[in-house]
Amino acid sequence: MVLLIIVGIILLPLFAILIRAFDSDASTWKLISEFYLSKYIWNSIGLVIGVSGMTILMAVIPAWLIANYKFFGRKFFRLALLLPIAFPTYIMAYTYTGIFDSTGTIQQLANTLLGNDFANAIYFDFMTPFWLVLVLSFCLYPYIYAACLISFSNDSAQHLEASKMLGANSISRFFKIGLPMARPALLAGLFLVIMEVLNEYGAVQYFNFKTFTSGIFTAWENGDLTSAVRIAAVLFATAIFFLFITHILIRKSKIEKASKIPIVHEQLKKHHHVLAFLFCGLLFLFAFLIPFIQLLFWAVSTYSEVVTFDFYVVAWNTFTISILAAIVITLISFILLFAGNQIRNIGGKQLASLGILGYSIPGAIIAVGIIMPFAFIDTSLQSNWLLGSIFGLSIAYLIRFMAVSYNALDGAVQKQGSRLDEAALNMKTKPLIAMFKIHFPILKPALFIAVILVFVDIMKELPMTLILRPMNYDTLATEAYRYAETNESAMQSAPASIILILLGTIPVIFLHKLIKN
Amino acid sequence: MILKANNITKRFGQVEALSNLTFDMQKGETIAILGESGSGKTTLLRIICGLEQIDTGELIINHEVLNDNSTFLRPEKRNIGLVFQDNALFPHLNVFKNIAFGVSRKTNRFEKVSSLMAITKLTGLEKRMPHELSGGQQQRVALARALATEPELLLLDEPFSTLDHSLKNEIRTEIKEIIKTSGVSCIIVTHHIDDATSMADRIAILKNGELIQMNTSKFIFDNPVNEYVAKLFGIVNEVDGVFFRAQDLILGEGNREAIVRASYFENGLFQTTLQYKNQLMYCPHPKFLPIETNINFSIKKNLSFSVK
Repeated sequence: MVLLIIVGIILLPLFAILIRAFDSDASTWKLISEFYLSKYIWNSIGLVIGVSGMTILMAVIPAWLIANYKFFGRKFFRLALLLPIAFPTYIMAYTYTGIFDSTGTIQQLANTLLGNDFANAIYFDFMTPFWLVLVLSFCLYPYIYAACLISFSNDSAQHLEASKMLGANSISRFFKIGLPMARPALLAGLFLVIMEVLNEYGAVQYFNFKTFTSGIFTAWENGDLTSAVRIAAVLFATAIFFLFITHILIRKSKIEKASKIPIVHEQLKKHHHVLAFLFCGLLFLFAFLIPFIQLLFWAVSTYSEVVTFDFYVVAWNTFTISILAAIVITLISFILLFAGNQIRNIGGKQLASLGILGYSIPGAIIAVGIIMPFAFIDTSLQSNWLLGSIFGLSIAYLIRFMAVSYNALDGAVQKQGSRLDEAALNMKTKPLIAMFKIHFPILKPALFIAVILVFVDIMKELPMTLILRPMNYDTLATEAYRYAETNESAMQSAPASIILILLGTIPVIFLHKLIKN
Repeated sequence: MILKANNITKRFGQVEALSNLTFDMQKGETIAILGESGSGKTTLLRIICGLEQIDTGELIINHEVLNDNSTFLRPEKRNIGLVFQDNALFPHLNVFKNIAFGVSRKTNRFEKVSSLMAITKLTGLEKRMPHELSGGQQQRVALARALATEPELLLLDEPFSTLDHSLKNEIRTEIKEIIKTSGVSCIIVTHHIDDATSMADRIAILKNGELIQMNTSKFIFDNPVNEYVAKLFGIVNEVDGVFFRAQDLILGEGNREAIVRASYFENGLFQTTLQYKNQLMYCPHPKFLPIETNINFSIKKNLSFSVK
């Protein structure tokens, strides 16, 4: 019963979208479907393809080099190249815009050091799709990098040695053994990248690049919820399409892995050594160091102006809603996981896994999908408990981020196996008692990690928060976005951005530990 | 001479995995490197194929120095075939592609692979994926793949350790035949004495990174340098400071008397434990001997060790 209720809540926005999509009351739909929808579709697909290609390029090469070769800074880059994942995409977008626009850092420096003519000569329009793809790729490539690094380091070590013994050179080893064996990991990472691109709102809006999410927001801001829901339905169909394609490709490329042996890192030749260092160094420089230093610089120069009492209120709001929602979401995942395990033989596990579908649903879909049932319940109860409330926003977070805590806990539970449950049953302990007396204390570290991971995701979340937050309620993410969007200057958003990025490095530490082990 | 190792030393941190190892092998010869876990045998194998570098010493193959203080030839440049302990077949390639992996496209790959598949009795399995093969078939694919590059030297790392006991004898005979037919020089790394004696012309025994004896199996059996080597070939008993093999203990004759402490059936014989004074002796015996009865014994042949 508990399981059904949780899964029901998670699937609520999808059902609502299905029902509302067929509503005839859509004032701007005709206009959208005739003039904009194809643009949303092609722009979104183009962005997915562009970012996919760029992230694969950015991720696979350093992962391969770090997994297989010794070169200066290898251990540093192993961690450092994960750091860009801490950058929310919208922050990366406006930071780079602030660096490259006509009044940005590059132009100011060029003007001061080499004169106006030189500054004019090197000026280029940054707000183009190419740079958007690059900016998004900087933030998203670590998903593929981490997956490939783990795969290259663990799964193919012995096969690579075997191919060396058969005379294969390093390029042939990469293409014939390393890459095909890492394909499932690469595709899994790529799937996350695609979902993040489809979920993307802040950066695309900043670049004025029309995708599904910007369409949803435009329709919603114009008060046409039905059109917003219909665009969300098309976006959901696109997300399902990509889910289906990657799922099939992963299944097709799944292979039996060899026993794990430690990889022996090979010394690179001198010029290859320099190239490896340069590739990793430049990637780290552009994907993390330059934007981070720029933000730090801005944060210092705007600190006294921005960090006022209101800023502390926003920071406190963000912290409290994120931590409370993270704790509740983790506890609900814990219950979902054990409820699913208890009725494993009648499909409980599969039913529970429906509960984590939310992570594959872009935030904008969840947000518009949940408005209708919330409005219905609020109207029926003549209350305003859900729509535009902290409680309602937390439910949206639950739907979106349940998968994060569920997967973190599931990994730990799988390591335990079923022996503890069997031992508890043997001692006539009821499953509910066993859950709290045995599993809960053992899983404390995993629960802690799950809370932290969800906490960081909620802190950074933008599209759902923008749609569902209470009136005059801001989080650091919306604050950073608001400053960047309305002031036409990224400088004032820097203090909030720096806090978000620093908190975003916490999952990086866990991820790095996983890779090291 | 196909291989010469001169004073090879290899350290991992403070641990000396191999110390001053010196030996050589002739063309077409099969050598077994025998030793327990941590003896350094896998390190030696990885040095020969170039997956590890030596700290000091010299490794020469076919009159060419492959590794010394100033030279290191990368594994892909050495003409050495290696069959891994768990075969390391490429899981995403079928049998044919696995075997053809190292064969140059300039040669007639199809004919070459087909002929190797025939020799290794794999014909008809070309399209099978590695996980669709039995343990013995996987082993033969790994061997065919290693032979496909026409190596000067073939290395087998614990080749039979993943096979069932029932399959082992059959596969061992098949692989020995394939190796002899191909004429390739071969080094087998194993910790099973039966693998070493059944496959190799000579056996090199490693302990704690040192080569303690190298000769034919018959010679080592008859003249083990120490008790450790003697025990590799079976049970060694000691009575009144005299060492002898279990099969050299003759029961029912002689003037010394022992008490039967245990007798159980295993491998077609009764494994019998006897006590003489305060020492226990073990031997296989065709008949069951009642426990706690006395029995006379004599020793047919003593073992003497050149090194204590």
